[in-house]
Amino acid sequence: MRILVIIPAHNEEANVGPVISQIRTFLPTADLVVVDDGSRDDTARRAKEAGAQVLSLPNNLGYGAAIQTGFRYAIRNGYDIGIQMDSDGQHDPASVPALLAPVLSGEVDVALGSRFLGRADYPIPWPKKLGMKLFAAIASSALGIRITDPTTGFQALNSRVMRYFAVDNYPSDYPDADAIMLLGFRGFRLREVPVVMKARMAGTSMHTGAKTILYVFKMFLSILVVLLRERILKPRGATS
Amino acid sequence: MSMPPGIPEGEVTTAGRSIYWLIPLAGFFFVFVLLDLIRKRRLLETHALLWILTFVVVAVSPFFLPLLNDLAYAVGIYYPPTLYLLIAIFFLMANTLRNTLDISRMTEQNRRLTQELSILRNQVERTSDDPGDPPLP
Repeated sequence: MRILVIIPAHNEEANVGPVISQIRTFLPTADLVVVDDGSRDDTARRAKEAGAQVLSLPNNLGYGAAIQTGFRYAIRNGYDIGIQMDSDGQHDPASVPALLAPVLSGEVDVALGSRFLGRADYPIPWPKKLGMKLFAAIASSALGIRITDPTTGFQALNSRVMRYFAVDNYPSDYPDADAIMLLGFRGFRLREVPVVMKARMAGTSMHTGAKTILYVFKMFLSILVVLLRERILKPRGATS
Repeated sequence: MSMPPGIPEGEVTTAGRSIYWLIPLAGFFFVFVLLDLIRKRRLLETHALLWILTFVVVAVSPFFLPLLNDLAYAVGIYYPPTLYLLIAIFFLMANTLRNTLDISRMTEQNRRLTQELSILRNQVERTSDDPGDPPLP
């Protein structure tokens, strides 16, 4: 089984090197690819120095598009499993074996790392927590399985899912409950796995201030569109 | 200058009359500008079609004023120019929507190209001895 760790990074020169070495201690044989999403700092060089492959996007495309670049790279290079992890050190590499296990054994197509089943070692602001709970409830009721952490960027996916997302079905800004619902509706097997998420190592997070409000509205629209495409307007007899 | 059909001579002032040739003139002037932009290859034909239609509608609209007036009264608009503005706004919105559609399509194409570029660049760097220039910020 060929495993690829996909790490999207935007201006993370301080974190990307240490994150890569930490991942290496838990996954010594896996390949790592850092998708440098139009960084204006030394992210790409630091990642290369740490021994990762680097895909340098000349423009900043956004988190989702960066991850999708990693999926496209994985498919083109014949990887069986992809693990997506953030470059800011929030995703504890010690959780990777647990995340990987159900995908390796073929029980599920996607394992979603949940900080609420596991542990979040940092305070989550209440508006963000409220948003997470709301979208978790929507995704859970739509899919009939328990989703606790829809915003998780800590996931393990097999090549079928990566292939599906590599083509055209991936949200380009922040894949979230909408992407999880899309996978569920399409018949992919999902399961949440407890993981540990820590406070980011250095710098500031991407979800701040007024963007959070915009994000909530955008997510409602994205979920509505997924429901329209996959449930409400789906032609009868269409196979997934 | 003869009046457009349906406009009684006695009911319009000199100032009111000029609008019947000013609007078509302005409309056709913009059609000419559009054609010139296409000729200079600064505007693609497909993108110009809706604009041309918009200005042709503007240009010929004074000749249909009686019809527009009747239509306005029929749908309950008692100040007919409002209907005229409504139609203009409709065409402008259609053009804006068209632009947004184009931007969405180009954003998608740009995303795909950017992704492909990064993957190919990585491939080139891996297969050649030349490490290449570092990516510019």
